[in-house]
Amino acid sequence: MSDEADEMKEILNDFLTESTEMIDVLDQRFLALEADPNNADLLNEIFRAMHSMKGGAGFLGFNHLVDVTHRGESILNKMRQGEMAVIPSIINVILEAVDVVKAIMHDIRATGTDNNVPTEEMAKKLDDVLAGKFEGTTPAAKPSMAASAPSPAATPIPDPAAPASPHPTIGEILVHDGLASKEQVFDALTEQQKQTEPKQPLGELLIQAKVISERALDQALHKQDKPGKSADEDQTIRVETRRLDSVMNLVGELVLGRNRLIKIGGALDESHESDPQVRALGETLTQLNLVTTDLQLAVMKTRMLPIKKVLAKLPRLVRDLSQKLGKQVRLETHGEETELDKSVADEIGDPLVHLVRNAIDHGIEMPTERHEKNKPVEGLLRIAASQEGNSIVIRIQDDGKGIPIDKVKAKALAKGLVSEAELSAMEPREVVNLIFLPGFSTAEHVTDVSGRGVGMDVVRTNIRKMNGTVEIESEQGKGSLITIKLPLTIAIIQALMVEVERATFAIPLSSVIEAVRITKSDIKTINGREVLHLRDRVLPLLRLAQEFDIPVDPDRDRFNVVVTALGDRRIGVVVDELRSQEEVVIKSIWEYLDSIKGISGATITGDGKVVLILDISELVENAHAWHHAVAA
Amino acid sequence: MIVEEKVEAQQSQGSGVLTREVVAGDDLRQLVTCMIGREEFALDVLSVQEINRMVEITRVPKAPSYVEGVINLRGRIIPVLDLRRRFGLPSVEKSDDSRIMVVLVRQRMVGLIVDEVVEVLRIPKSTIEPPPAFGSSSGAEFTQGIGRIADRLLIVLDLNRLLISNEQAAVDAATGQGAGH
Repeated sequence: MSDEADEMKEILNDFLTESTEMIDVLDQRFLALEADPNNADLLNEIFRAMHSMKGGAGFLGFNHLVDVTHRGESILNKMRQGEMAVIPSIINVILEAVDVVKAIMHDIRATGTDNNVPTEEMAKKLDDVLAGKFEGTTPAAKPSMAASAPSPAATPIPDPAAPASPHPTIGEILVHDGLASKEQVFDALTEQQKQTEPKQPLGELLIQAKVISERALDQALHKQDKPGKSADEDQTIRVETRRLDSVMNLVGELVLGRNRLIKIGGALDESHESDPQVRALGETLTQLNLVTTDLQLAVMKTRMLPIKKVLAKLPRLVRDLSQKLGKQVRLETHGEETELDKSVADEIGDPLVHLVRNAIDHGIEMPTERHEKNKPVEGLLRIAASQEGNSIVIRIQDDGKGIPIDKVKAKALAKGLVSEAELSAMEPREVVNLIFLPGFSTAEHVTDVSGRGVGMDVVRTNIRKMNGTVEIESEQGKGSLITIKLPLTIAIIQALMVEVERATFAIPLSSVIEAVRITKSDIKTINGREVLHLRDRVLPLLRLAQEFDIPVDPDRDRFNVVVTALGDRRIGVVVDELRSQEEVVIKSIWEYLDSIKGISGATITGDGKVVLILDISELVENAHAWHHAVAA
Repeated sequence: MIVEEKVEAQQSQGSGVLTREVVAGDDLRQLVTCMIGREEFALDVLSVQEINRMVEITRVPKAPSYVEGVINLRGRIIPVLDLRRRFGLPSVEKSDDSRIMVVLVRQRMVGLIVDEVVEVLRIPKSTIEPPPAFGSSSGAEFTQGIGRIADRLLIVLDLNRLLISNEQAAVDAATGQGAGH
């Protein structure tokens, strides 16, 4: 590929990244604006975002995108000059336009052109609003707003020589930065004076006169907003995720190398204890160990994002959905600053959207129903994120009607997911969590039960893929609480190394409760199923060798049982030996092998061997399924 | 080993191998040949990343039977296929001559176990004929063409067909040795 084409591609990528970020911000800002229509700063911010998107689109020749953004910008400009009121009906139209812009961005990303998303209708709608033909578009009687708005591009103070005022004019900034000469600015201002109302902003005139580029104007506008803060901008740089990924991979390699060195060092220490060189090596290794751990943490931090980025799309979703359903829902978010790994952040968005949708659709009641139940008419949906130890915990709570346990029971029975006997032994909390079982709910049955079952198994599968867990608690009539627990990073985990007939496997430590030594005679059978009596609890057992078709030594008498837990279920994994606890870097295995049940990935140990990592959730699931099959 | 050096010399570091055009002499094809059983197979040199001696292979439970396992290739975990089993030939003890050829197929690295690597050679494209309609030899369904030099017959492998689609692999996994409980 030629350099020029590369450059174009880079510019395009930058444009897409920046625009996507801006769109995310736009959604939020519009909702804030709806609540606070007189906030001139907000309006200016939105205007600028729309404006620079238009600029970029124009530069790259995306004419359909320009069609929409240009009109959006014009409406916003009118609003900001006080010529149009900031009212929900108009905001709705602009939000629609933002959706079209999103679709176009998507199109550009996928096809490289913006020709596949119809824009005529949207453009016409926006034109109607502009022409005042839209319902409720009475010109606003808000002169105060027009006056108070900084209205940067139109400030007519033609004294570029004295950039001393706290809010320098756009002309001053351009001259100061050497982007335009005094004369050029003066010419433009003279031109502006000649115009009849509405006058064109100075910046636009300069662009028309080809004095400055749109980019330069944006920069200047930005500076005007934050005088004296330009130095701060250099404190951050934008780095491609791919590069961070490769740094993370290399650090993973380093961690493995360190583990290996420590093993070798340990062995040397035993055989050559008195050698001063070996002692020196030991000290160096300790140092290396510390630095590596710090480096690992530092790199992990570069990949951390505040969860705010993920939560940002929820207000819009809540707004649209509750409007559509005729419900009133207030969204509260807490702990937006909680940071999580980018890979986790990328994956958690969909499950969250799903859960929020469910909560509004099926959890929170209609206003009249809430009124009858003496609840506040406005439903509350609360999303709180926090870091607890090595986990990120997200709680999604609603004050809706909760989940009817009896219906869940009936349904689980009808679907053959549990037996009557098992059901009677279950705590209510366990029963509610049955909704996460695959096959519990299908779309057409949604409303029969509380309706909370739609794709809940998909939600759980996605969360488990990140080595996370999800649980639900519900109190009938009062609402539900869903708790999602995620690891801080999905790349490096603590694992327990176990051995079965000389094959080594890693079990994520997060799912290990304890390990016990047993002999063959401790293993009992109930209904043809092997179990272990452990402190008055019957623990179903799963022999790893059997699960993985590994030929075994029939005379072996001593075993180790690793007690693993997934939510409320426990299962004992029977292995030959416990080896060690190690920090392992999860490596993806080929997709060919991805679908193998019971294995989630692989890692490389200190001695360079490949070890498979067990997927405890799948093993537990399999064991239970098998249990049901036997019981039935 | 000479063969390894030759192969290395043809390769630059890193990826992008698949996209590069065939080196010099448009009429020539450069192949790496190897023995599996009594037949000589050939792979396009551009798809061969490196050739390694046998290393410890970690078995993957429930994987298709021709997947010998996974190996650690300088920190990357790649699957290794046993071409003997892939071609339905009886397994043999790995010898000193056994090699793992690391190839790049559809942007993925895969190791192939062969009995022996023979040489790197250039042959005129015109000497490679389409495969016979009837599979007369092992691995017939993976054959791209038959090359002839003097009295030697080279079976040119189609790597894409060697690594069939996932769906197919899933079917294999279900019907093969890893058939549930």
